[in-house]
Amino acid sequence: MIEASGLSIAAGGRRILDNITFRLESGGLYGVIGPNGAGKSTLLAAISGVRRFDEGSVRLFGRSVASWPRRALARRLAVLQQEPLPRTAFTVREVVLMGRYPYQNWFGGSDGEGEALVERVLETLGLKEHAGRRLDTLSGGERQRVALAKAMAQDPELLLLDEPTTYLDIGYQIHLLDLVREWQRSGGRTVVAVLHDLNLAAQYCDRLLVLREGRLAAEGPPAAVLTPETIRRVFGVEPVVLPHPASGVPQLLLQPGVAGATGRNGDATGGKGGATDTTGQIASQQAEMATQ
Amino acid sequence: MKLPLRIATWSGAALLLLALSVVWSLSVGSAGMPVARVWSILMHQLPFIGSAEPDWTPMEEAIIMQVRLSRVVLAMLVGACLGMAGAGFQGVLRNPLADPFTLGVASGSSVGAALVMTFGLQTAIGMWTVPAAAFLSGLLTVLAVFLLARSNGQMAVETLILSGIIMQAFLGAFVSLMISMSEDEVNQILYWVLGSLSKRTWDHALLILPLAIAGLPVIAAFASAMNLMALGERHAAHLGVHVERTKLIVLLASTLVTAAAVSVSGVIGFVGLVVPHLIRLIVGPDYRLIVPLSVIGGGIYVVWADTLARTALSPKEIPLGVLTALVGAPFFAWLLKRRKAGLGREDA
Repeated sequence: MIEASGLSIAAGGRRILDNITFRLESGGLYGVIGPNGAGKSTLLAAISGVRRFDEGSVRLFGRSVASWPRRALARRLAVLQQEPLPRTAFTVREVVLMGRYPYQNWFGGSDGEGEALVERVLETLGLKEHAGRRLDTLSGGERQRVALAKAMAQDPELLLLDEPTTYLDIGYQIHLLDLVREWQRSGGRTVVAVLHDLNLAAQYCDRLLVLREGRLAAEGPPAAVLTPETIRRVFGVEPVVLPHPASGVPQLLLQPGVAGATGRNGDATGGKGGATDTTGQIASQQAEMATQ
Repeated sequence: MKLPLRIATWSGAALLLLALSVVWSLSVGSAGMPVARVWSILMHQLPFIGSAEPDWTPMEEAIIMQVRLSRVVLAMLVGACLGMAGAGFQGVLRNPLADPFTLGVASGSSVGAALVMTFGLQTAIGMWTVPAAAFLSGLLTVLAVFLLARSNGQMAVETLILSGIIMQAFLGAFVSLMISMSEDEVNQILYWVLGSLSKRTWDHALLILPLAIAGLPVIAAFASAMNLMALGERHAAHLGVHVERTKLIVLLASTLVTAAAVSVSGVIGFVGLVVPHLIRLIVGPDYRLIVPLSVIGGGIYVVWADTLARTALSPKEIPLGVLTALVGAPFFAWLLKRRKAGLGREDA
């Protein structure tokens, strides 16, 4: 389904992605994890074809991503971005219908099964009663659900999620990921999600790709990847890893004030604890934004 | 209601209003005339309909058909071009302040026209010298703005708008320089820059008609894409829109029709800014409605404005660009205020 080989992207004299090679089979839910600035969002942008890369290749559905006509690709690949949809005057139903754009003519008419699909998606995501409301009257969490509905209305085989839960509270996070997993499993689809929360990643993903400074640092099922050694090496923290009491997947407990041995961005200014680490995170977050 | 029906209903209503505006505009002037007689004269021109004996003088018919109708039609076409371009610019730039002059067409055209006038070359290649110079210099300016804003094969919206502003300031200074340097041509350049439709003929209307007709389907074809771009360029790209191509084609087409309008009328501001905003307020955010209705709405607005411009202080004429700004700017301020109030409610 997705084959990346020797993928490299440089910007501003820095390699954002450095020789990434992996292969993901169809029908799984895959997580991409790693510290800020590791290149996770860039990797997703390269896979979806909106970001050009300098070296290497990405093949989707057996064909080089650059050679896909955008409209044909949009029928098989959808992307849910981190930022919620803007506050526009379009209604929920209108926005979800926009997911049918790759299938439509100018009037948006010729798409009979699409309208039925849109109604089903609205139903599934509990947006039915909000369908007539304007986007600028919804909360951020609700707009993110509308964005997911729009992506589902595209009826893609492959869905890419770029930190979809960043701006959501824990209730919405679980709700959104439950919906995605259910949708992925029931339709035999494939989902690749950049996730910030390692515990959520462990619970929802079949396999994890771990990025660090643009390189693939580890890859495999959560139980194999989320070990104290890998976490320390990649994130520079010293976690306690326990099996989840209900499901047995690894879960992380963090310890304040115990930074790992190997450094990360910002540690040079003093890696003693919470406050300085936070500034380091903000700095690398800005670096990540600047490269996007 | 289904979209084709909505488009037909709204367009029909708008066209009716436009027709009424045209007849009304034809009837007012230094020689006032009843609306009914104007209507009869117009109908008389149509084959097979104008059966009744004319009860008007040949003089009256000449005033309506030669003097006033050509001007009203030109006003309609200029307004249609500016409204269309305004919708296009707002659609792809997604900026509430975007209008047909955002990328510097107005100041570019002004420089061309002012240069010709400064050197007394108004008739160097016939009566079309000033329009041709204005058209070409306007297009060259926008190309320069594109080049300025382009990096890595992409044009970021913010960079485009900033490039346009810089170019406007730079070329505006040139026009001011030429106005201050020249002695006897001062009024002429200034008058051109302020925009006017007086002393124009049917030829002027026929000159921009083809571009207006060609521009509409090009911009309307991207209406759905512009709807998606309202969600952000990334969203649009992931739904299969060629974002850069859409921006380039819509901006070029909008620029062409703007340059055509400016070349015959001078700079008429606020039409392309206000009309699409007003349409959006009435029919909602769908560009498949906004584009055609902005064309008609622009026509109505300029017909009204020009009628006012030639009659309000008769026998003196108010420059049309001055009038559209005098009406348009306060209206835009009201729109802005309303929008802000609306946002306040939503955040609460």
